[in-house]
Amino acid sequence: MDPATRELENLYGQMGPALLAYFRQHRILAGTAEDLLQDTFVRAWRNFGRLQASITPRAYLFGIARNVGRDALRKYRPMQELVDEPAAAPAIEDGRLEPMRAAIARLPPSHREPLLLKLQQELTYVEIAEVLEIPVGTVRSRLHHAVAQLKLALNSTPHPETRDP
Amino acid sequence: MKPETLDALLIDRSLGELSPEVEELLLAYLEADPAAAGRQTGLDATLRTARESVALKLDRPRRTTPFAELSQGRPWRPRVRIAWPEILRLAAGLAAGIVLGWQITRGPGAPKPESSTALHAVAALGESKPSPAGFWSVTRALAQTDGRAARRQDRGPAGSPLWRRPGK
Repeated sequence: MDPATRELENLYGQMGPALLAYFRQHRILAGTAEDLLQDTFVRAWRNFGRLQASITPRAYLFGIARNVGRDALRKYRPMQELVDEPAAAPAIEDGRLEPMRAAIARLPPSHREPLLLKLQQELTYVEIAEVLEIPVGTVRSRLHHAVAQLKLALNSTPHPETRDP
Repeated sequence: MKPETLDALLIDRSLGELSPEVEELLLAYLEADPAAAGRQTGLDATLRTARESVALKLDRPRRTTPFAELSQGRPWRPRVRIAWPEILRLAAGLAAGIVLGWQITRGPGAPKPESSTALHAVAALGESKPSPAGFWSVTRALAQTDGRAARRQDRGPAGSPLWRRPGK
């Protein structure tokens, strides 16, 4: 096996679960998540040079995954954005999490997408900037705005541990 | 420090984006300013709850990569994806159309089968003269149908119990 393929195999093992979860959280894409994961790595294989030039392999793969997801979603809902798809609620629901989930859903897509990449995938500002193809400063300001909105929303609900002291 | 600058630094720290040197300076500031330290605590709690609310379940992929085929120069074709949502919508529309069409053809203007006419036709085929017949015979069915009609005619408005005036 050549070095490029070996590296991608390793990345598949390391990042496969996270990318699979990234696709599965979207209701329309959930049924074809495994196919979309394969598409992502095939594209990465075909453009291996770009993978090596990226900030991190993680940022590059999530950038491809985002495009793969948007292409797939356009076949069913041409006018819908990837982040407009709601995440499926877990089976055991914690009462204090629902207001937070609702507050996140109310954020504009341009703020919700970098927030989810941060909270779910723990990407850095620089990695998020590469995935979304926007400047790092824009990522930072959108995340600040999003977090401020979440604090504001939660301070209006009776959840003592999230309120400001 | 300006409040907006402090808030931005606190958020960056909560998100793990501060360099070690800047974080050290911020921590020194927070030690001297308990109100600011309280805001940091609140932010940390908010983001902890946010992370929990959107946490994803991680599963290992069931399928392996197609790199072996690609490396050998064989073309990789994606699996045929069945667009189940679209197919189900089309099937539902087709079913609704069939039901609607059936309802329309059975509407008031549509010819209805005349059961008594059919009975007479069958009787004419099978039996040349009326005769006492078994329980399920066509002749008996006809006799019952015709009898009910005759009784309705005989009663009429004056003879019918419904039309009898009270007290008479």
